[in-house]
Amino acid sequence: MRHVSRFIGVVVLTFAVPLGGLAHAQSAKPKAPADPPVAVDPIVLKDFQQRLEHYIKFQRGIEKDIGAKQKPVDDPQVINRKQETLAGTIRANRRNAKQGDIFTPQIANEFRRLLNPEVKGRRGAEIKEELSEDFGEEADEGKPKPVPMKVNAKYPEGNPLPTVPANLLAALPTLPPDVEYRIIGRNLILRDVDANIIVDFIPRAIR
Amino acid sequence: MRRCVVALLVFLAGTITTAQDLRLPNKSGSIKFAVIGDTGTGDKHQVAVAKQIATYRSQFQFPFVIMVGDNIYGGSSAKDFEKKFEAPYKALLDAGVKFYAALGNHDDPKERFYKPFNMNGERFYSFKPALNANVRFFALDSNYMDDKQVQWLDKELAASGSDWKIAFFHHPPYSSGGTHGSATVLRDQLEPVFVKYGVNAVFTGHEHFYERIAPQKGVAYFISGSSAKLREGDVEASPLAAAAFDQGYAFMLVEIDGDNLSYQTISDAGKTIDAGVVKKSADTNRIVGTAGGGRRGNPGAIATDKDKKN
Repeated sequence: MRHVSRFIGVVVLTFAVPLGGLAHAQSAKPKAPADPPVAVDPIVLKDFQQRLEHYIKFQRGIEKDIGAKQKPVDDPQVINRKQETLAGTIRANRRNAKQGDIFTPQIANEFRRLLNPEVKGRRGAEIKEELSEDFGEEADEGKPKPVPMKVNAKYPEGNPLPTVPANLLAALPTLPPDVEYRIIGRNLILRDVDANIIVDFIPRAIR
Repeated sequence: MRRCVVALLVFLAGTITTAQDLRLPNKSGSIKFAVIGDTGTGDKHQVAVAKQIATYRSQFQFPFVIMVGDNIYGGSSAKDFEKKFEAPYKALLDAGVKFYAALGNHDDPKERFYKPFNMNGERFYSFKPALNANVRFFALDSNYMDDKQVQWLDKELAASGSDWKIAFFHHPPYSSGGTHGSATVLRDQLEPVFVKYGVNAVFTGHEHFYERIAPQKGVAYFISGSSAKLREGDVEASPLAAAAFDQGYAFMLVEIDGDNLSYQTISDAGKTIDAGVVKKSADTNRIVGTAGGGRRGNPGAIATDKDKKN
């Protein structure tokens, strides 16, 4: 994260989406953006929201059905067991899922377009350096396992979860707490936080 | 028998010598806590620091510890939690000391469901150490600082009537580290909120050394990321550093009494690396200065507290 000296602009998206947490935040931006905001194609955005909402409803339904909702416990085994059960059930019920089910080619291109201003130029080089930190330099923390770019794959246990720079998060639609974005190399993954599986991904999201 | 007595005396002498180095006021009724960061290795360094913490607690009875992330490296099995948390801090846990964790980039977010971390299933949360305490802590997830979290922080700070507002999270907004350095994107996002609501002190880790940053815009920043990991010589010459130590493992003891926040940073060898007081104004609840001194990156140099501005 060093050498990032310039202000990192944020993209103000002025849309609202259903499902509570999906609504994109309007406030709490730290400073005025350095670059003009990137307008989002509302049709593509709506398509993404609907696909995501479909997955969230499906995931929450399974979680409820099999009693996998987590609550604080003393025994980590209980937490792990619930997560594994949820992941297994999601995989079984979503065995035909494939890359592009959520990030269709149109949505993927729109995401690339939204991310592009944040990762270009000098500022972009700094952001890319930041993104590579967790997978690059920590020799004393063991080499991270390769992350499989595969729908329903488990995010490798013990790997660091690369920090997502705030400007990238601000450029993308806000997600409900069940899922999150992570950038692995140049790829963007949508990770199910509760099941620790890759729901979908965008290859070469970062140019 | 004689050998046993001698051994016991040597042990006691060591303990007493260490405990005598306590430089905090240690007042009755004050808020006392410890700060540890980048701890979850399960190796001998974590154990050595943990022993020092327990030793100091015999004199400085803090009821809780804040963990600034990277609590469990390399896995989240029951064995990992046992080896990298429960065993090293057994003496503290047995004594009823509570731990409040923030997530680091090496932490699996499901740690938030591990009861002894007191996160109550949340990636970010706030707590008061006692109902009548005039301090509130804000634990943040700096790995994923989305708008939702910033809005939550904004709301929580606005509603907090506490005199002292203390934030803790993993990535340091200010740092003299050569490996990472200041997390400036994060800083751009959080600093305006800290300044707006008068956050007084921020504790972070990620950098595997200790650093006390000269107060920035009225906020005191500490990095305590060497409680089990160390990057020797990683602190670079910087106008930010009021004190730094990258030659050994360390943890912090902190005491809040009225308008003073006293700190003492101690190495795994039991030596005091840095100690002093952060003072705030009773009228504005904003930091007005610090007093103290400690080591810079070069362990041979004792820094006077210049509190230089960036």
